[in-house]
Amino acid sequence: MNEYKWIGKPIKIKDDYYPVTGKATYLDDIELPNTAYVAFLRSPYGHAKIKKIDYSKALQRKGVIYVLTGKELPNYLSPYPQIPKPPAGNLVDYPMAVEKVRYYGEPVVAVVAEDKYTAEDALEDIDIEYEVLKPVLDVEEAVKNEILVHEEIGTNIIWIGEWNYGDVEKALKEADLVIEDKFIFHRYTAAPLETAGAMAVYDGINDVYTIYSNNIMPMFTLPLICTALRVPPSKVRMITPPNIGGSFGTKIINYTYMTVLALLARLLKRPIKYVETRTENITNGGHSNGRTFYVKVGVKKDGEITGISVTAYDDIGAYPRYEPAGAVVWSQVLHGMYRVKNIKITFYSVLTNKPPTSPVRGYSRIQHNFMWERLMDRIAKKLGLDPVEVRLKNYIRPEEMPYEGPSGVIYDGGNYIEALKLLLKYLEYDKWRELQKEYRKQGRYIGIGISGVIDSGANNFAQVKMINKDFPVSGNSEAALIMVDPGGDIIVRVGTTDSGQSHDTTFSQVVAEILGVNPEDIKIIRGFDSWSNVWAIHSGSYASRNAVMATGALIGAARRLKEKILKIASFLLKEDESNLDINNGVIVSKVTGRSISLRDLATIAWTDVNLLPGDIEPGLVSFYIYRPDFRRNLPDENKRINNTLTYSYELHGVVIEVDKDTGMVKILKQVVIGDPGIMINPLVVEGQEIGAAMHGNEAALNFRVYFDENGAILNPNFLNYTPMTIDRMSNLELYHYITPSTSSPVGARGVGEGGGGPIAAIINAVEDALEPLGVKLIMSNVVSEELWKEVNKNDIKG
Amino acid sequence: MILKGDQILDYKIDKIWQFIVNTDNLAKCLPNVKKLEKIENGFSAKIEVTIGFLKGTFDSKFTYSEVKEPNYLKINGEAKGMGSFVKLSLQINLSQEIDKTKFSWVADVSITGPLASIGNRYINDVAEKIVNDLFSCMLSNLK
Repeated sequence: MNEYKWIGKPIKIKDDYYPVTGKATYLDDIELPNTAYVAFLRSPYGHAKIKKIDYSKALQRKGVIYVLTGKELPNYLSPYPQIPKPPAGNLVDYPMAVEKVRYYGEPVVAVVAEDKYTAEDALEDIDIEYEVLKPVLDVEEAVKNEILVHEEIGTNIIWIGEWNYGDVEKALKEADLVIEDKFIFHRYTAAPLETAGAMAVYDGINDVYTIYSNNIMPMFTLPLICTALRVPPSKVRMITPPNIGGSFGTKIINYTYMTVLALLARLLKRPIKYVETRTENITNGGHSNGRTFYVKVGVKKDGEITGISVTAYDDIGAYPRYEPAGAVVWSQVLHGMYRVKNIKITFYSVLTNKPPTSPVRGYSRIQHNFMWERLMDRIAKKLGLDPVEVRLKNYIRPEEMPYEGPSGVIYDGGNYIEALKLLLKYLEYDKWRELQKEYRKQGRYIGIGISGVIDSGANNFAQVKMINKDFPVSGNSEAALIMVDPGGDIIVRVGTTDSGQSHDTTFSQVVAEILGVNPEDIKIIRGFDSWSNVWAIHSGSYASRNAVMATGALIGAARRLKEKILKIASFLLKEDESNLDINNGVIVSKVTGRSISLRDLATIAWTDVNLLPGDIEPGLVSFYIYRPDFRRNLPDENKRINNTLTYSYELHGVVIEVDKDTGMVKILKQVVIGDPGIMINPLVVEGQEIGAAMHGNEAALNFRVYFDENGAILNPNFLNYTPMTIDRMSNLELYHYITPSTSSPVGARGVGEGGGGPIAAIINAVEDALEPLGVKLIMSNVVSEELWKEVNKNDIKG
Repeated sequence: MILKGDQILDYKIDKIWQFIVNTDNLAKCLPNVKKLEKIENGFSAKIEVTIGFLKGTFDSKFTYSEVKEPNYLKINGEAKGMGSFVKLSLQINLSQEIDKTKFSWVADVSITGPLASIGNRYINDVAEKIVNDLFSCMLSNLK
């Protein structure tokens, strides 16, 4: 661990300079001359037929340039490709509603105007006649197929998968007790500081589209846009600005905006821009998958789990915009943190008349983790055991690491038992259990909850082959290019899209480590440009991948470059290569002390090229595409695959109090133990961990998207969809229990998606607090009003 | 959403009935009407409404769908504006109480669109204001 010079050092985060000083450049900061602006008229219903659209008045408004309705889209566009085979593969998805609206907020009409205010005002001029249809909002109703979201596929079930390992039936028979339970994971969003947006420019001479966006995996969404626009990828240039103001996964599905803007740019021969309002972002900027679990678990009296059978219904909303990937992504953490071998899980991916879901921090695994961690507490209560005991009984043992789970996942190290002991120590678990008894006597409701979360990172796309074995995507890859330019400056390009993860700082440390230079000498080119920057098709920032993926690419490129540098230096210094090393930007012989600076060597390499050995090509530049070996790279017929590379974990513990008079939950103490493996920069890692914990607290206590019976969202603004603020996080304590990853280049694990930890911990704690009242919580979110009713139900009745 | 209320009015039932059954009377008592047109069994109106900090214009249509003289009146209304839709089913019951009349009403209001999200927070206040204005207008006209 200590052999590194730069990796592992908490050096100052240089990325913060731009946003903190107001110098960051976001999508909306990019202005092009002659730009026109779009506003969308969106559906006020969850489900309705569009009978008539009258936009004649809008066209008369001064400043309005053009009106496009969804009805016209099939004239210009093809539907987006679908992952599953037919019938689900026949689902027709356009970026705007064509015949009917299928979710609240679905774009129906796009107005283009000289400025965004006129565009928005003109929406009031448009008259749409709807025939309102009954929406299907509940996932368990949707599987009955009585109301169809997409008639063309004849079902609301996009995909059903079964994972079956060991012998669950036998395991349940052998159990001392079989517990049945139901859990619901709710819908919420990420509320990034910057909403989603895009700008498109069409070059009619070359028939080329340039699309600016804050999309976080631009090359991966490119094929979707190209299919819709009916052009090859070479005709579309993808650009993201230097800064993206947070994404948390949601800025993947904004390709629908990009498609519409590209079309309008071509039709109108002008740059076209659109940025979501906050309301639009909360409504349609991407919600997490809601999921309902029916669980049957067999346990021995001592808490040991013999087997588990689960049926899960995943609510993906009205269009599978990134789905049904989520129907397999959760299986990265199939068995959670537990050594259970007999597992059967049946998973339904289901359409409803709600806005399309997108990845949201902890995508698809967070729901599954929640189920496991709630279940552990339920088992403990049923058996009269401490929740800690049940976890310790079932945790994967440190000596079993790296652990291959029944579905072929390979957990890359960790010591759950010691980490939990550390958590209990810092949480002062025993003290609070005593205090809880005291407080209960005083009529105070104190609860203690713990929970673990597997924050898996660097996904293996081959997992979607479980859905469609012919779908042409697998593995993961990332590209890096490193150049020592003729002036000796070190320029680095990577295919990632930084949305606040401090890539400059982290990447500089990795390159500095290999090249033997200082991190501050390295310039990372910010922003993404498919025509001038480097990329791999999987490039981007998602799935907690870059501590592994970008690092892998940078190490590969830096090693190649170093090899060349040493080869040239060896020739120039007349020294054996093995005697040479780079120190603080100088190539020095350990034997003779002869040296040449990287700067002087770069000048020779680029400009004084006849001084180079004959077999060396001029220049100091290297390019590398990293592809990790997942060891189980492709799924077998039993869905056995290692579908991600690293499995960092976090343990969360909270002490809460439910206020009897208000139903408010106050966090009295919160402790997080993380195991991110080797931290490239601890400050960056801690930021990710604290951010994730905050998001988890929000999800448990604040964020819940409410729908009315028409499918309309009732809280699409910060007035009643309130983000957690830092002042409410003051009780958070973060510690680490480090075990290096056995799978990744420097032993680092991806982090940032551990937001599931606090959710189950808080719900466990609230249920624990209200145990004397017999309150059972089913959902992953609690609100004060509901709790107040529970706490005061006896008084209310009286 | 169900809103309801009642009020004792110092008039006989017939007088009140005559007033409310006439669409012209009711229409002119709606607050902030910008434009009014008669249609079959009712009227259409452009109404300016202030909800909390928002102000917008609604295109509305009201029809008298059930009329049972002199006790019962059902009015269906639809309004479009501020990107939202409001549906209203208003039932009025009149009952004679010596010299006075008990005026009871029940309104079933459904709102969809962006307004639904803020509507619930303010709708009671707005409805109360509209109803109070209606009653005071009606009373001054009955004098």
